[in-house]
Amino acid sequence: MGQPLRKAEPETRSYRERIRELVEADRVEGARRLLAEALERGDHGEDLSGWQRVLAKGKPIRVGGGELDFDRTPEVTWIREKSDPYKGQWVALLGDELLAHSASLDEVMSVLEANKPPRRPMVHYID
Amino acid sequence: MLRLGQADFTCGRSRYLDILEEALEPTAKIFVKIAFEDSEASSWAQIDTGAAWSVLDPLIAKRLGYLDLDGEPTELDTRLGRKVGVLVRIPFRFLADDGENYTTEGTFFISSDWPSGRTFLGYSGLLDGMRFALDPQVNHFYFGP
Repeated sequence: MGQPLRKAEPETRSYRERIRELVEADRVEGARRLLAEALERGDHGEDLSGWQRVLAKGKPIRVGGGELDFDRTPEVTWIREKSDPYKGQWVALLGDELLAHSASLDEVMSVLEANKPPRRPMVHYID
Repeated sequence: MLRLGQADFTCGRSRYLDILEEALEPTAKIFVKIAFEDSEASSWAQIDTGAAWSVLDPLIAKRLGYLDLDGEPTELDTRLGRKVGVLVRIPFRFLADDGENYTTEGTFFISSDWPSGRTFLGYSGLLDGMRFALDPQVNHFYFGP
């Protein structure tokens, strides 16, 4: 004998709550669809602008601007060959030159700000 | 930079790394060069098309004042376990060795519980809004709007 059909319960949770639940389950497209439904209905009285921002696709801002980067082989070689004594620290490198190192990223950046290097340094955390 | 028929497909390219520190990352990955808008320094970020979200190193986020941005509090499963944090929109730049740099805005997850030195570029809210291509023979990463 078949089960009697149950009448669907009306949804009592807020859109914000349901969208978060989908996001936390990595169901991004489902979250986007639910957000679109909520925005189309518009009668729920919830502020969904935060979800609208973070669920948007990546947005192009600008092509061009800023100096081009360059071959970072010397930095990578330095990391592979000389980084052992700096484990647990941030290092700032330009070519094979160590510009600054510290466990504090703020300290490294302060050194770079005080002694601005001629080209953009690479900042990296030595694991 | 890279054309598809008569149209531009990407605007810039950079050399990517497939192994940064051998002992920690035994298998090949894709590390590309990025810079955040307010920073004069570059850093490496790992491309991860299998990840739903991008993750920003919390110390970089703190340094650049991104912890104060309006965002959505969220709890996510990550490769390092379940983490509590916030999803925020952040502009940053893919740095080109050839062609032109590309500035885009993407959604990043920031968690104070996330270890230093690891920034990932995931699919949703970031890679899903741009073009990218790889030439693994020469480790070139192509990117553009």
